[in-house]
Amino acid sequence: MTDALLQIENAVVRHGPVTAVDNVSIELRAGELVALIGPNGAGKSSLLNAIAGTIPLAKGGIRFSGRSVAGLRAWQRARLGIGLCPEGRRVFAGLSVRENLVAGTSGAAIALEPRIAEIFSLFPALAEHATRPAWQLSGGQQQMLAVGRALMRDPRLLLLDEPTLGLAPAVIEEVLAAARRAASGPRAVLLADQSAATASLKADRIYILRGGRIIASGAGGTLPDAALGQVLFAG
Amino acid sequence: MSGTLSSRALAILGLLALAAWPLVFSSAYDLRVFGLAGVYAILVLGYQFIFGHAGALALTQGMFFGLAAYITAILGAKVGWPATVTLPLSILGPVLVAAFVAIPVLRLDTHYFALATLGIAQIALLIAIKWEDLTGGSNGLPGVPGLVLFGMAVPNGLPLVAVIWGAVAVCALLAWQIMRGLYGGAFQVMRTNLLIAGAIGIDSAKLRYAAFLLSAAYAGLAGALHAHMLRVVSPEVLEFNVMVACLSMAVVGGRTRVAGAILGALVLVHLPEWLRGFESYYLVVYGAVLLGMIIAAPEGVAGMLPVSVRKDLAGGDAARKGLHASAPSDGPVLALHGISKRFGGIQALRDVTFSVQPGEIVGLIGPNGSGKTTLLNVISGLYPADAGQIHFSGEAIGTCRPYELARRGLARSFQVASLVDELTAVDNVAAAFAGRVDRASPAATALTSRPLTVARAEALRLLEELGIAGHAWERAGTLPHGIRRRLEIARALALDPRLVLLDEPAAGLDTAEMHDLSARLRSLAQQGRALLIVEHNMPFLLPLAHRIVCLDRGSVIAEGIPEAIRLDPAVRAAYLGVDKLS
Amino acid sequence: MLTLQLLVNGLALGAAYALCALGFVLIVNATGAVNFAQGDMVMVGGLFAVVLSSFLPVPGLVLLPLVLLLTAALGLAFSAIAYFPLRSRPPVSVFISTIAVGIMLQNAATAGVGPEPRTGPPLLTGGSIRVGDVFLSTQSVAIIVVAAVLFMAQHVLFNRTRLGIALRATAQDRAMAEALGIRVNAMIALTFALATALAGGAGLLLANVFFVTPTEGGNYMLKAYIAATIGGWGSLAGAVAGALLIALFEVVFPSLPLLWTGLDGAPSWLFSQTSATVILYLALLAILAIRPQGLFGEAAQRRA
Repeated sequence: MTDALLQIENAVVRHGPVTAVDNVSIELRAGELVALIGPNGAGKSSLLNAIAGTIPLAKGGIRFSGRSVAGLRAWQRARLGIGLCPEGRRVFAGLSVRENLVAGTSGAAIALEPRIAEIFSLFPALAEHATRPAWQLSGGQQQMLAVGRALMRDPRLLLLDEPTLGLAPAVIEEVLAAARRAASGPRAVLLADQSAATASLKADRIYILRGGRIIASGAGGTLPDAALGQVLFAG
Repeated sequence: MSGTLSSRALAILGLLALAAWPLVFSSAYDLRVFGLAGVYAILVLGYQFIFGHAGALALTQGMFFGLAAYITAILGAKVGWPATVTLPLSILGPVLVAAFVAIPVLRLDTHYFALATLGIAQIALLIAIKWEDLTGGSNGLPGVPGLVLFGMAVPNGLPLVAVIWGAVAVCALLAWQIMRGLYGGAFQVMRTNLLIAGAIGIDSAKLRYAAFLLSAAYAGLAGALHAHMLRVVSPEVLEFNVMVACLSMAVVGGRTRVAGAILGALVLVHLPEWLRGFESYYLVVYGAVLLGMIIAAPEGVAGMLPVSVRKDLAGGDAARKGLHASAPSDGPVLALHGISKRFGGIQALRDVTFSVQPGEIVGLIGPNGSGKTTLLNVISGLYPADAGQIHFSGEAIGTCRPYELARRGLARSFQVASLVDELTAVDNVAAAFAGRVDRASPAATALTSRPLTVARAEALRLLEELGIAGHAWERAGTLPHGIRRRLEIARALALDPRLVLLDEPAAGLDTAEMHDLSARLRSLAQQGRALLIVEHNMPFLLPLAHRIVCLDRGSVIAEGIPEAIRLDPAVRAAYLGVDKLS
Repeated sequence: MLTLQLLVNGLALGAAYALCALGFVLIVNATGAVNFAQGDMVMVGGLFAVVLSSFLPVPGLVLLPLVLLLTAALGLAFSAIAYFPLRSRPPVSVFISTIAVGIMLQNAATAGVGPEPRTGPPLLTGGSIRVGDVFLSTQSVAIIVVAAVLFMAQHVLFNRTRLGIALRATAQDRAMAEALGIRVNAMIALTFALATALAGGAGLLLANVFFVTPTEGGNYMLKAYIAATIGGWGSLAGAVAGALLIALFEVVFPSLPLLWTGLDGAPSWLFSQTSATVILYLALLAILAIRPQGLFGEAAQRRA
């Protein structure tokens, strides 16, 4: 198990008095797509943000490539190879599509142009709008921009927080297919989603979260809808 | 109790020290500096209303001060009116100007408000310099008559200083009385969160306006006394330095506490004297001390003094007064018809129609982003719907402001923590009475303690009802999460609501707390109150609600009893994303 | 002829105001806070020019890089004492801390070099240049050219370089920028350095035509504040346009009776510097009352 890319051990995240993530342990290996499924408030976002370092961990530990990331700030973790695509996309609205991609490479020794070309080939719609400010893009395009931006540093771990929210079914397919493609070679993807069906079909493994705890887990596609419904509605 | 004693002892010691000051340092110069500190103390006491309590960075306080000084000088020296006439006029002048400029200015956001008030102050300064016939220009107006009180002249020196500090005492007492009463808590809620102030029936615009006028009145008194003390008025009184000094004193002393204004004025007026050793650099050190204070003591010097928890309550029957039972009505409490709302390109709500009956618990569910919170915001008046009608107890409420709805009996809890951490549990609830009790006589509510003690007694009864009376005198910030959620419900009940909107009330609660919450919500419904609950936790909501409305992408996709909703294919599809496959 | 001269003088003053306002808006965008010391930075830049030229009797243009460096360093120190300790507090705390820094700068200047007005070196030489049959002040033309170069440099930095894009990203969404690997604290400190250097540059540009006095900062700060407001809060181009408008008005308005003889009979107080300033403030109040989002709309809001 030492080859795990990401090891989360007994993680606890608190927002003031509320415990958002309660003693969660998860492991990811390179090439895996793992989905966290659960209703709003289940703690998915908090867990992803704690991995990215944008919120602190109250207890437990996170190891990335065998090294503890405790005490590292978010920008240091990004430079280690953790890419975050946050809930609500958070694209830089006043920056152009190209600039959004460039912004994330601050301090990285990468060849900018080939990397941007790579992202554009992954999401051709972005290439068409390269010079437009991001706020003019549609929701789906903004989502692709957010994913593309997180991929600019070629991270080994990609964190996708609710990437399908508010998108049309065809676009959801496209985003999830991109996530699936991204989880290959040395890279792993950890994806959080409310809706179970699509994500679970694409994922290698899924974890069901509720109230900050993992209440079920299994291989992707193994949990039928009925079981998930049971989990979400009745506990 | 020991907190009360020690703070009282401190206050008495402080007053004694103040009284002894002129006797110890009795040179004419020392007295003058001490008198100046008193003038500034009054100015800062006034400034605390708008800057401290209302939380608005007004930069007009120096202008009000200078205006009053000029009114005193012009009417006294040029027209020759006595101080008994000019003093009230000097207070009235700034108040009138404040009442006038507040109309366009007071609704502006922080940075615009600061700039607008600064602009007004600059205009006043330019007028004072350039309108030489009236103001004497840069040379100013000499020959301001001395102060006359009750037919007796007050000579400069110790008598005038005594009068000034007497005025400080009166002003301080007045400010203290207003802020220890029911409005003190209301100001604190408004400063913490405007949305929540509106949701508990506090008319923030009116409070801000009142605070602005009070600030101007205090500045007027300070300016007049300053003119009487110096006997000459020059444009210096209108310069930005006066404003900076006032602001610095409020920051260094403390923005909201009476002791802060007095300490701030005393310290900063004397600081240049104490820093004489730095010679020409003493003002640099002054700036550095100010900066250091902002960083090290955000609450100012007064913030380091202990705060006592006051527990005065009205006893007996008084507690029941002012409580009106919800009038039972026949029709639905809330009726939504065709509500639509767009934000830019997103249709947040589309033709939403449903109603809530008295005594009914309705659950509002839907995936993230389906429009639930938007709907709560539209119902509670935070933003208007683009189309459709809302009826509350049979009346159309499309254009009501949130505080008006709250006063009519529409209560709401928020997802985010919405309590004022510095206030005790009981005062958090009592603040919600401010909007209800003051309509008859705002002045009496401000100047007497009784409305607060009545509100507290009533609040305590509500805390008992929710089983948290044991925490009544603890500060809300120290309470555990489960207690805080109940406290929020107690505060909502202070509005005696016909309808309570609850946004994720079960978030962060453990199983036992959820059971307790369910039971309490049920008993509210049994009292005839209607509940509309947004909640993701189905095991909590489904057994509790009489009826469920499910939203998806802004539209109602299902409505019915919980068991039917649980099995509804459209709901399952929305939650599980099955439709997204097709 | 007179019109052209006035226009050039107005543009020169406006260019300096605009540099100051540009820095003001950069800090507003990066931190959400109003920098009350921005005008004092203009004064400090001017004083640096005065003091440096007493050691190095060279044209102001030669001193410009040195003044920019010195004021940039001052900006770093400024952010370290007045912004970073307060960054998790509400913006009004920073507002007040910058007032405190302003007090320190003004009084350090007074104590260091005395309260009397001083003159800095001309940018190139004194005198005037002839365009057709019109004589224009060399100094004014040089100010416009140098300011234009500084604007261009700022524009290229912010739009054409990775660093500049990271600066803008930080201003738009600090937490997101940090999650992408941007060192946001360094970016903010750098923004303060740039903002202060722009003000310092403006100080050097103005030091010859106008006197440098320790207490003049408030005036420049107000002009920057007003320019940022009428230009649309948060908009760089708007602030520059606003600053130019203000300065042109200030220069042209008192000279209206000279330009148009029909106004000869007007009372002297009407077309004065003072009434120009009063009208400016009244216009500002009217704009705030009617269009609280500024003349050109609020750029800061669109980011939300």
